[in-house]
Order: sequence, then C-alpha cells, then structure tokens
Amino acid sequence: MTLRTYILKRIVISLFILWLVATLNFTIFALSTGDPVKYLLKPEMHKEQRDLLEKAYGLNEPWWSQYLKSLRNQFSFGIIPPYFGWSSQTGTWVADGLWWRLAITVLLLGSALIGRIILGIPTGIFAASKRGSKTDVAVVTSALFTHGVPAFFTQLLTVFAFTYLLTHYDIYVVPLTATIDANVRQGLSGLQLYAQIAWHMTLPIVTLVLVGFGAWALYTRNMLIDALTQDYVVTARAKGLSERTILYKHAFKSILPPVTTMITLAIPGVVTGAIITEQIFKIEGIGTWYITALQENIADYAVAQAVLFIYAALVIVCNLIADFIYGVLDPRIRVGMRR
Amino acid sequence: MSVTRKVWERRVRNFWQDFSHNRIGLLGVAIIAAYIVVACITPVLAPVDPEKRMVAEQYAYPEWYANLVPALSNLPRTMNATLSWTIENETALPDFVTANQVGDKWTINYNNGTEPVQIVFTAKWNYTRLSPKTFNFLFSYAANPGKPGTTWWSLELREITPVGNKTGSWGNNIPLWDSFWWLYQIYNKDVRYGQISTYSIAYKNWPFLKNTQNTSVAFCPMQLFYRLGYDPVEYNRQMLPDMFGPPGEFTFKMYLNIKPVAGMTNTTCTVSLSKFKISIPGLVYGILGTQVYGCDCWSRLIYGVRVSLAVGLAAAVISTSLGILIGVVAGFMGGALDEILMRLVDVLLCLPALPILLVMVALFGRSVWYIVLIIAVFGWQGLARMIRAQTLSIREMSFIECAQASGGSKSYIMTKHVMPNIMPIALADMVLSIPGAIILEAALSFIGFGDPTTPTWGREFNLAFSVGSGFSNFIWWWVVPPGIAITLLCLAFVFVSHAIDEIVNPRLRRRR
Repeated sequence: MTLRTYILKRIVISLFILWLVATLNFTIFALSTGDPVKYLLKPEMHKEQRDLLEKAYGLNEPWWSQYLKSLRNQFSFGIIPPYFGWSSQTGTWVADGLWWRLAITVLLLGSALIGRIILGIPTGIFAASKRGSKTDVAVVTSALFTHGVPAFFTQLLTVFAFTYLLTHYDIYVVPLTATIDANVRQGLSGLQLYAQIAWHMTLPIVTLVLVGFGAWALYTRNMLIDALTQDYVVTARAKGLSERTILYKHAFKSILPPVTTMITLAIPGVVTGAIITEQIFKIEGIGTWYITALQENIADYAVAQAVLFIYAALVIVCNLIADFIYGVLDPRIRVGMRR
Repeated sequence: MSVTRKVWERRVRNFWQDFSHNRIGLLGVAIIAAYIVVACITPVLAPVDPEKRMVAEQYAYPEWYANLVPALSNLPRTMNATLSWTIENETALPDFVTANQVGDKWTINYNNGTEPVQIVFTAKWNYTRLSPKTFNFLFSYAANPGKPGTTWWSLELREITPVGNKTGSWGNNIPLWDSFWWLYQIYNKDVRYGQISTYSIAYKNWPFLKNTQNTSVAFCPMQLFYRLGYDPVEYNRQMLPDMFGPPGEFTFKMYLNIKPVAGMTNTTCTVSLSKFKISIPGLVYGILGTQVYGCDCWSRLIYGVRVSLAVGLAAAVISTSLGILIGVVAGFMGGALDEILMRLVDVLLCLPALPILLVMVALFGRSVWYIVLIIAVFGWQGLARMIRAQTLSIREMSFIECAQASGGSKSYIMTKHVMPNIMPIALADMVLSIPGAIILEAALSFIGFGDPTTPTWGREFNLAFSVGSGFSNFIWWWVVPPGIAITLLCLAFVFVSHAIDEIVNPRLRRRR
C-alpha cells in the first residue's frame, strides 16, 4: 500500500465517520423531548402562529425529511447556505454568531496550548536528563497533581484570591473577567484593542497553562526516559558523545513523531476544552454559547448541533493530520507502507 | 475450579506483595479507605440535614475559627428560647369561657357565649443581644368552631420592646410598621426548601389569615421567619427601634378574639395555642460555618463524599465492563462484528466528553444516576480499543489454540481464557478512569447541569460562583473545603492507578 492510497482510505473512512456523527447528532436531538419553538412562542400567540413557526422549523415534516434537512445544515460547514441552520435565539444564521465566538475561544485556548507546550516539553526534557534526582521527583509529583486537581477548582481559587485582594485591600492585579467594558472598547482602536483583549485574557491563559503543562512534561519525560534506555543510546555513550548530544540529537529526535502526534491530537481540545474556563472568566466564546443554547428555556438546537458537529469534525481532521504526520515523520511506517 | 482459584489467589498475593512496597500507592489506598469510612458513617459525622436552611445566620463563621480570631470571639451563637403564655385577664373572663393549660398548650373553650370576648396571652423574654439579622418565631394553634358559621375568631400577635415600642407582627390588624424591604417567608415547619412560598409585604396575602373566619383548623405549626433583605444601614435605622431596640425585657402578647355571629344559637368554639418558640440564628456555627442560605457547610461537605464516591465508582465499573465486553468480543470474533463495533468506537471517540454530556443531560434529565450512566456510556471507547488490541495478540497464543482444539466454545474461551488475561490492564484503567468521572460530574454540576436535589461538591462551587458574595466576602470555609476534598480524592485514585500501572506494566517498571 502506498502512502497515497493509505491517506485516501483514511479520508474515505473519516468522511464515513463524519456522516455517522452527523446522524447521531440528529438522532439525539430528535429523540429529546425539548421543544425549540416553545421559547419563541408568546402566550398571546394564536394556534396559527404556532403552526407557522413549526412549519418554519420543519417540525411537522416526516423524520426523513427532517434528517435530510439536518444533514444539509451540518454539511454546509457554515460557509454555504443554509449556514448551519437558523438560530431561534438570535434570529440569524448560526454561522453569523459562530465565527467571532470561535475566534475568541481559539485565541484563548490556542495561546494556552502553546504556553503548555513551550513550558511543558523543556520541563520534561530537563526532568528526564536528571532522572531519579529530586528535580525529577518534583516534576513527576507536580504532574500527577495537575492530573488530579480539577482545573476549574484551580481557576476558581485564583479568582477567589484576586477578588479578595481587590475587595479587601484594593489591590488590582489583573482583570478578573475577560469581558471588556463597552465604553472602553469604543475608545480604543486597532492595536490598542488587541492589547486590551490580550490583557483581559491574562488570567485565564496563565491558569490554563499552569494547570495543563504538567501532563506535557510527564509525557515528554516518560517518552525520553524510554528512549534513553534503548541500545543505540548505549552505543552513543560508548562512542563518547556528550550527554547533551545524546539527549537532543539521538533521544529527543526519536520521540519527535509521537510528540508531534500528541500536539496534533491536542488541537481539538483548543475548541472543546473551553466550556468551564469560559464560564468562570465570563468569556463570550463558543462554550458559553453552547451552554446558553442548551438551556431549557432557550433550546436553540441548531446552535448546539452546529457546535457539536464542529467539535467532531475538528477531532476527525486532526486525527487524519496526525496519521499523515506520523507517516511522514516516522521512516519505519513510511517504509512499511511502501512494502 | 479449585485450580483456577489457586491461580487467582497466587496472583492476588503477588500483586499485593508488589503493591505493599509502593509507598505512593499505599498512601492512595489509605486516603480512599478514609473516604469510604466517611461515606459509611455520614449520618453520624454530619447529623444536620445538608438541605436545611438557616441552621445559623448566613455566612456564619466556623466555631474553631471564631475562637482563634480575637475579633470574632464575642459573636453570638444560635439562641433558642421557649416562652410559656400566661393569661393576663384570666380572672376577668366571663363564665362561658374556660381556659385550661394541659402540657405545653392552652385550650380555650367558648361555650354558648352571647357576647364577644378577648383573651390576652402574655409572655416575657429577656434578650440582651443587639438586634439580629434574622429571627424566627414559632408557635402552633388550632381552632374548632363547634358548628361552622356560628362564631368568628382571630389571633393577633404583638410585641412590646423594653422601651415601649409596639409591633403587631401578624393578625387582622394592620401592622404598625410597614417596611417594604423585609422579606417574609411563612411556611409550615417541616416543608423543605423548594416548596416554601415567599410572600411580599402585603399582609392580606398571608395564607393563614383566610382560615381565621369560622372554619376549623387542625393543629398546625406556624412559623414567622423574618429575614432582612439587604441594606444593613436601613436595617439598623428601622429594625433596631422597631422590633429589637435596646436589650431588656420584651413582652409578647397574643390576642384571641372570639365573638358569636349575630342571630346564631349554640355558639361554641375551641382554640388551642402552643408555647411560643423563638430562635435567633447565630453568627458562629459548627465545624465549617454556613453558606449563603445558612445551610451547614460541614454537612454538605460530608454528604458530598458519598455522591462523589458513588458516581466515580459506578461510572468506572459500568464503563470498564462495557469496554471489556466490547473489546473482547470485537477482538475475538473479528469479521463484520469487529468492523461495526470499531466504527462505533471511532464515532464515539470523535465526540468530546463534556459537550456530549451537556447535551444528554440537558435533553434527557438530570438525576445523578442518569449522569453516571451517561458518563459510563460515553467513557468506554478508549479502553475497548486497547482491550481489542490485547485480545488480538492473546488470540494467537498457543493456549487459546489448545482450548479450541479441546472443543471449547467461543463464549467459554472468551470468559475463561481471554478475560482473565486482560483483567490487570482493565483494572488499572478502571482506577484511572474514576477521577475523570468524579471531575466530570463536578464540572457538570458547576456549570449548573447537575442534579439539583443532591448535595454535591460541584453544586457548592456553582452556588458560590453564581451568588458571588461568597467570593467578594472571602467565605473560604464554603468554597475551599469541597475543592480540597475533591482534589484529595482524585489524587488518591491517581496515585493508586500509578502504582498499579507500575506493577502490571513491566515496561514502566524497567524504567525505574
């Protein structure tokens, strides 16, 4: 099997899975007892108006017609009509409210992910190079800690502490919520606004990095230590190479494919991991939107469906990319596929 | 059978030997054991109902903390008083009225009376503290007109402060004060939160007044629960002089009016009145104080242990069983079944845990057990994939071939030969999946999608965060203990799974 047929096969399977996800997405909402029209209805409305609304949302149609409509909504990807469907909450296309919220979420979690990688991987390398020492133990322990402590508790504690400083001692360190005051927003322009946005996201990003970088460090350390016990490292030592050369040129290079895969697989988390952080820091991102859409009295299922679909599509695409990168980076797989 | 048992015994013994040398694993086991003990004796440790409101004043300090900090040491504790009524005009009562005190209640009989009568009950109370934020008056009354429509009766409570301010608390008369920022909650004593009706200042709406005409009323506890709204300045200006002025002797008067309806004969009426109970919630309470609704924080913390443990264990057991079952079947059977199951795994792996959980909970229900089920149903895919890979390699081993050659059926081989060999990995994965389930449930509750009737830690976070004053007032005894509890529990499981991983995974052991 050549690399091309391999990738083609993967793409076909991925499309099939995406279709299954879209079907599941439709089924869940079709089976639910919630009523998306209820939020739009006012008590003074007539029966005819209700019927009209139900017709507009296609609730009277047979299930297969609704299914086809749902598929068309989801596979529009928000770039062609019907733009992920019609949001009953805002009265616009779902895609209209989607992109800027997605941008905020990606900005928040993307910078957090980069921070985690930049901080985590060197820490892991450092710990692996001092295997068995106190530094190593400290890194492993703190990584286990970050695995155990719920991220939202750490974030709540941070908010708690800073609020205390602000209300009791009048010490203002960082903004506690990521929302920028409308008056402030109007007075700013261009670069200043971006600076403000970044400044308001300091606290969430810093807490996210602190909570998550331990896992990266632990992963890198374990992989590296595994690599350092391999026979070729012993040979390299016997040749008299310096520890530094062995660490970076031999051991670290050999763990690059799995680390790259790991990074690729973490990218969907940039969108999905935001829900709680956005709640705590009051960020108008995609997670907040999703939760609002699911509230009983709002029941904006088009939005929820679209967000879930984006999540799943991102996971699938990133899996595909990870497979591809692995195939390109790891010569063993490349050669194996040629055979 | 006995051979199998021996093998298992040896395996367990070997495992324990390895495990008992692992210090971090033992620490984890100790912590988990402590939690389980707490979960078993929860009612002993926390006798107070976690959902009971106003066991003390809102945000009451923990007892030990108040003793520690000199500035707080003089804060009042919860105060209860039971006052007995005496009848002020007992000698002046006409012949057709008899008053008897049996036990702790007065019974007044109005027998074929011809003219209206007023009976005045009095109770004295020494109160030496400054005026409270909240107070609770409780008494029970019953009325039974012998024949409906022949008598008219009413009760009215008045309070006289040491300096002579008079306050009519409730009754047919218009209250002497009329302060719109007071919140009135009037409810039967045993009605739990959720069914309490909150009434506005309009005294005409008070529900029990409708009973006071000429119908019969069973002995019903009546609670007057006044809680000050929000403005401490207004409160001091208005409430202090009105109801709790300078400390001293307070007098409560209960006026019972009975009069015959004009033109009626056979006018009889019996009215009973219990003792008058006063309770003023303290500003210092218990081990961990109280939260925004005056619920006992300690109780809520301890009851949360049960829920979290149950959620974590149940979800992990269900999802691991599903993972083993599907992994083994897919790996061993192969073919179309394998293909279908693995595509299902692929689909489920695409859906991130928290968002899909939110959807399911929002659309289908919020009970804790339902949440457990959803966590389990969406949590087995990773394990199933791993187990399938293991099964594939085990299937090629010679002892399976032996079993097949001796005529073992597929289900027999799967349960007796394949499953025991994948158990250690599944066990390690199960322990590792417990903290995930616990955190997921807490996160769900924190967002506000949890079970609203179960005291969970996530719900405390949600409440503290949404109320906000828990943060700005630095009510640490409310927010921090549940966090520490959940952290410790999750860490314990992570430690144990780390230890198990080192034992059952030889590659990791070599690394040390």
